Amino acid sequence: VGYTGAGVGFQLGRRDVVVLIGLGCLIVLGRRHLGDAGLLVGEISAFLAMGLVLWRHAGVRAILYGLDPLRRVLVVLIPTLLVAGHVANLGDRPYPFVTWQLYTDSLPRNPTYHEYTATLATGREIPLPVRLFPTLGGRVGPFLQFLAKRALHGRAGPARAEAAAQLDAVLRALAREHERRFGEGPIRAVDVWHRTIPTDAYAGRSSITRRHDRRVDTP
Amino acid sequence: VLHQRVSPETLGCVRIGVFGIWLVSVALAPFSDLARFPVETLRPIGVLNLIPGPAWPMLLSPAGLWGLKAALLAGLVLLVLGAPGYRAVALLTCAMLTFYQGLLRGFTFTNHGELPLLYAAWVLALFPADDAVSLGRRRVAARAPVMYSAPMALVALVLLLCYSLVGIRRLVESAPGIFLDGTIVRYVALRAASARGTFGDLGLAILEHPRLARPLLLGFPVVGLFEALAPLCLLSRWFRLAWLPVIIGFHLGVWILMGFLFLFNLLMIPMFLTEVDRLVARLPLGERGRAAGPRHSRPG
Repeated sequence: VGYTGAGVGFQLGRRDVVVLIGLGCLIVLGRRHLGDAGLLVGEISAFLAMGLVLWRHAGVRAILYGLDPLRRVLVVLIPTLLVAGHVANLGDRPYPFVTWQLYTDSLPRNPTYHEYTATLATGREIPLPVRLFPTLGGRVGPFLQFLAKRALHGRAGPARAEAAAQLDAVLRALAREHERRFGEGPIRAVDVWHRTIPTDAYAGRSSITRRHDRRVDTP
Repeated sequence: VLHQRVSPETLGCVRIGVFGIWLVSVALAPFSDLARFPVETLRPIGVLNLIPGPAWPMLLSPAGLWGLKAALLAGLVLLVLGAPGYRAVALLTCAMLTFYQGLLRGFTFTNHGELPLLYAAWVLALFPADDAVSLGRRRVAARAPVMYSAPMALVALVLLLCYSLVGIRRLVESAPGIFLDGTIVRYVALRAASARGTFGDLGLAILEHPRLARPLLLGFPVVGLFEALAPLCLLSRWFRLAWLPVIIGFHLGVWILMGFLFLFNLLMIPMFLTEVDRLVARLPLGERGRAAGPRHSRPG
């Protein structure tokens, strides 16, 4: 016998509730006892639970059964691919069905970031903006943070060398774009600065410490 | 269920909304600047690997990028107008949009801002979203009502799933630690310090005034829970009425404090997560709209 989840719109039977509790237990147990695989087990359990709640609703089934077979497959396939692309945890390799991992890792105290300045031929130092490629929107800033972290603080190896080469290339491209768009004269070098935010002793922007990390000469 | 009954006019209006947003977005992007971005950073991702290697130099040349923009604009204009040949134009334009968005991500990194709208475009391409509110529309045979409700419900589900993927990952992988160690305050400060957004240093002010940080610390797990349970909005009107202010407030808070605006999501929410069919039924949109009259279904 179906009931409507205390009048809020769900159509779950008693057996469904038992299954949902079982899936909830799997999430907790997987997390505690299965290490890295626990994430996979936990996420699959969570999405199975979500699928069950949706499937049990007569309105959802009416929509599915009302469609022709091809569209019925597509309607099931698209959300399935979205979830599968995420739980497979392969980053952007299965694009457009990618991993959705946002604000999942704990940040340490005193977080750090990188900042960039350009030294003009006159010797004057100016901040180098990272939004100089409008088609890429706000993507260049986070991309540079990723490259700088890997190139300047990552483990030595080919990945670090590749990141360093890409970091230099992007910074030089920004310098060229800045020269092209603003009439401040040629840029001689770009500097990468390592900034640390003292979260417990923060007292305005001036309290954010700055350390020189790298100089990239521009041709 | 949300969108249990949807008229062809509503789906037509949504078609204009979705492809119209893409049209504005593509029109505002110059494209030509991509030819000046270092090509060595490009890694073809996902379906972009299907493009043969020799084609890349041509695609990334100024002429190739201009051609892509022109083709996208032409396709999107036809789709907004609902011109004849909808299915073919829609599929081709969606393929180009997927390439374009993949290119931006392949050059830099994969953000998520535009993906729900990309999925929405694909769904609309697979359903008869041109049966109403379209240019020079010839009369079509009556279709089953589910052909209009299914795409709306599917896009709503996909949009809600995008929140759920984030929320469930955070809850399964990082709870409860991430909600108790003050991480969210550091994320806000870090983003505010490095991004210098529209609202200045508001995000950094929370470090100087711990009282301002308290709502963030309390709100972070609440938002995580609402994100994880997002698909329930399809079934429960009450949950949806609670979910909408929480998530819209969260997006506005992220914009003000971290300088990061999920514009496409904010534009999609009124289209797909409200009873938009009631609003469209009141609009004078041709014979069908008048015949349908205002609807009084009560989904959820």
